[in-house]
Amino acid sequence: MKSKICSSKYVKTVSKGKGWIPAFLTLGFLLAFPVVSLMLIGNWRGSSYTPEQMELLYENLWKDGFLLTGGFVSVLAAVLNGINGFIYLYSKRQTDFYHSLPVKRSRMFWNRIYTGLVYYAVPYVIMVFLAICIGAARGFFSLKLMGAALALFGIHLIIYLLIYFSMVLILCITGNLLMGIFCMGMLYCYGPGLSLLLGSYRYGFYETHYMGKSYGLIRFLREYTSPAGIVNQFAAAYEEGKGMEDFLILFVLTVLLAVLSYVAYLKRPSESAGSPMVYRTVAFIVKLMVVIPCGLGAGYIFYLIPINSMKTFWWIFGLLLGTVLSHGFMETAYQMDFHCFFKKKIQLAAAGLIVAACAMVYETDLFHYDSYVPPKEKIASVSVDMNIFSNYMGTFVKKAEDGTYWVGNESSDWDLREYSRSGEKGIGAKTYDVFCSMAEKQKERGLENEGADYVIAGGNNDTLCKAGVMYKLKSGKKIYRSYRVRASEFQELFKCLYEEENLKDTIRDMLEIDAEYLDEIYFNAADGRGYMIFQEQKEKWTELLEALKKDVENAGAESLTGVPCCSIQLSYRLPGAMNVRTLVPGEENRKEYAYSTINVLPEYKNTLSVLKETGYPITLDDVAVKKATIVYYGKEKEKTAAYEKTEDLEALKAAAVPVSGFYSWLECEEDISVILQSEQGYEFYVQLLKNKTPDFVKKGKEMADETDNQKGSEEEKVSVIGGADGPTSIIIKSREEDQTDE
Amino acid sequence: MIEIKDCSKSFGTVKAVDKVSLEIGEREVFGLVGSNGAGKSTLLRMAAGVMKPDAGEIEIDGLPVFDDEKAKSLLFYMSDDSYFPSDYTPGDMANFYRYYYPKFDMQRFFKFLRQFGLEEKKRISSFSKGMRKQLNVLLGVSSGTKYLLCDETFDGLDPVMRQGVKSLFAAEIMSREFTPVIASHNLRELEDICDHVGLLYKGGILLSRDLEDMKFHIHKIQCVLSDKTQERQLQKELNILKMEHQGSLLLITARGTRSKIMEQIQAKNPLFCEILPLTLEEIFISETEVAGYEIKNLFF
Repeated sequence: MKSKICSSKYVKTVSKGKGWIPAFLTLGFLLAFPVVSLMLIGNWRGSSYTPEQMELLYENLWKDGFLLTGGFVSVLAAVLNGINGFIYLYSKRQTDFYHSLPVKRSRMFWNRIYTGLVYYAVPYVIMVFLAICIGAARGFFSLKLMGAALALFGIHLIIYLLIYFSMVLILCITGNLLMGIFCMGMLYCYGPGLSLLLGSYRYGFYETHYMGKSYGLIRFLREYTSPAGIVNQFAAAYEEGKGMEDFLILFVLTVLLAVLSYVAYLKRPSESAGSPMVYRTVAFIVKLMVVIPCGLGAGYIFYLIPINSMKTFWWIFGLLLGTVLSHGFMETAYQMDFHCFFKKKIQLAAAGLIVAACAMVYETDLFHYDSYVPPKEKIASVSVDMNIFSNYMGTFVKKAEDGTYWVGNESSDWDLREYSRSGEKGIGAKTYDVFCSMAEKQKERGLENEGADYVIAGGNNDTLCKAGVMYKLKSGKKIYRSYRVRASEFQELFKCLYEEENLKDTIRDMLEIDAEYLDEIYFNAADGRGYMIFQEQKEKWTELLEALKKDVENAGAESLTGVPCCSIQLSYRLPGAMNVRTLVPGEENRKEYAYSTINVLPEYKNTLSVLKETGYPITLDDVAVKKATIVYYGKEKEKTAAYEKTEDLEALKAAAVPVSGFYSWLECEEDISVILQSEQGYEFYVQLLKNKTPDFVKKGKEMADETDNQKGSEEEKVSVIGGADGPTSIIIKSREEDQTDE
Repeated sequence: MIEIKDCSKSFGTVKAVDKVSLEIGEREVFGLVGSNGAGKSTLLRMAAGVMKPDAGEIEIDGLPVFDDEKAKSLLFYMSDDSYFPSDYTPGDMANFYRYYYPKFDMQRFFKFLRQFGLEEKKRISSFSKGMRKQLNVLLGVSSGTKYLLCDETFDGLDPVMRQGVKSLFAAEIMSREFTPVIASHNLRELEDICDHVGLLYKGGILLSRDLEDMKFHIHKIQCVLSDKTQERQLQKELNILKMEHQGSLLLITARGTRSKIMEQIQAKNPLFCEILPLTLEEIFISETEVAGYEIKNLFF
């Protein structure tokens, strides 16, 4: 009988009335393979791709393209076949009918899987064959392609089986449709949901939780605890030509689900048809898995709503309400009776205790999340989001073995820029101490500055900025934190990073790119103006780069965190890796663009001597300033003063910091805008170093504060919009002044 | 032979079958009777290998029935609410079953279909309840299994069809090894077909007897005696289960063989005396009342 049951005649007999499934799947695979193939080949021909590019695109179609379209139909097939094969378990009549047949349960299980596989594989193979024929007729055929088609079938089969067995498992452990849908939802959404809840709690209760990147447990829950998540991860990795690891995970999970389904099917009592949950232990576990996150989730929602000191009260109320309601609904669903809403009070109490324990973990920061810094010996590197601390924001590059470049963005890919002691794994003791010192203060700072995430200012020591930090451990694990940092701490961090040469590496990386890829050099001169330099003298570019390299090598941490006199921006046009997704019709080579700003310090003698040849001012000493205008921002009003005396102007130049960049490690004067005017009539902004601020400026600031106290002051001439965080572009003259001008 | 040994089955807190022991012999029609909820269907589902007993064993011809292909191939189970896959015709059902029952006789099945007036190519979903029951019986008989487990099979059949099915069973028993086990809550349905009857009450087996044996040992007599002293003498001499008067007519239900009872009564020179046929219900009333149960509690 064994062979008979796996015969085509048997499949034909049991398929009576179910022919719509293979027919439907045939239609799906027709759209997924031949139709897509035809449409895309037509599109490529119309888009003037070169034959090589079309070859590449067609190869990729058998990799990424069909992975998606065929995967979608495979998932659909798994759902339909899973339901078709095992939904009978929900019906007492059907269970009696099938389980009374003289077939062992195990054989019946595999027989149903076999039937489903026939429904899936036959249309799949036919349609793939048709797609290959279409490709061959259009001139795309190779043995490599056959291999790709086979690999694709293997992947689709695993995806099919994964989804199929997850369906079967749910059908085997539940007894009715409501519970089946609920548990299926749980299987697919529980991990991502829990990840969201965990992230929310960390955000709500921890000061240092970094929201921008997903990592650790949160990432694991989101990406690897749901079959759909794993498939998604695999697809993403496969697109990049990787994915072996994810495929193995997929395979192991499929086997695990198959074994669980098989055991659940064999052990399932026939009489459980119609009852919500088949296995008591599973029912209890599912209930706990639902009630605890629901309790915590409801608590969090209630915690978010009030903005006053009643937060904790409403949080506890939410925790209680969520626990009781979710437990009640689960019990009602289990017993199919609303009268059971408040039954099983001991279980409710136990769930309540677990919810309370979880809540306490977050409330008391039991595991010292905020102050945790991994042990120094375990840290391989650190990454710091310097977005708001410096004008370094540009790009960084990584060279591949084939000579192509990958370009990262400093602001979005900051965590890919890893700082470790030059050429070594690990960070220095001083750097580690700075991070420890920052971490220790986080709880306190968070409580003091609740709600203020980003407070940006030009180097005021009292101002806190929030910056992302990533510790990469030697094990490969990544730990992200978001620290509230003072400018002085950042200055210290910069010094440490420079001392350990790891921040210097970032400059080196850009300077070591082959000069042939240099596209242009933009010079931010001391007079605040920008110039393209040595456009027609490419040999000078090399000279400048060599000079810079030498100067950077010689510069110490102190000078690297000093006051720059000017800066240069290097722009590169690099050969990028050929990528199907970024393929431009007709273009053979892909270009990647990288740029980086390098501060030029007064100590960079070699660089300055090359720059001098440009004739543009390289320090403020080279700029003849005839007038300075300072706007003093009082608490409520502004006051403008002009200075033309030579000694005043010299004092201002001595304290000036060019604002072509933003140097958070420098302590600059706040609440003033300084505009210098050159002899040629150019105006440019500068900042003033706090420790070099001339006395007349200090007096001017004091006067501005005093003027604030005099209501209705008539000295008000100019209003500047935009705050004190740098040069302001919108200047509104007062009406009085306008009339005078007229 | 189907052997049920100390079999128990509970559904939550409800004990559906409680330590039932029963033997169902070969080539006999076994009637399993009991009120609703007595555990007939549960016992039959366990005997069919659909459900596993919580305790005890069920063996068919010495083979444990649960999840055993060989044992299950000896029986065909018809539930009270039979399932037929959607869109199936009687012909499709026959095709389906022949993969599972190698002895399934297609020719006989189609012959039966014609005899019972069922259309081979009509969708079963359009059949009436009675027609589906008939079809199920025909499929069961055609499957060629030794045991046929019928749960409330006669419920819904009209008297003519019922008679037809009974004749079919009788013919099968005559021609091959065939043992139908019929579960029913209706004693009248079973009395003219069963050879052996088991009575289930609240999950336990109350009695299991051969019907002939029961009929042989219990008799109902109506007679007219000339005086009261003879009546009193008879009360002492006979093992009387029940005695009642209808005018001068005396109705006696007594235990004992027919000849012995008649001999005792004839010795009193009755004016009139005859043996009346006993219905299965009356036998049960007598038997169960002796066992201390009120029949009203068992069936009504």
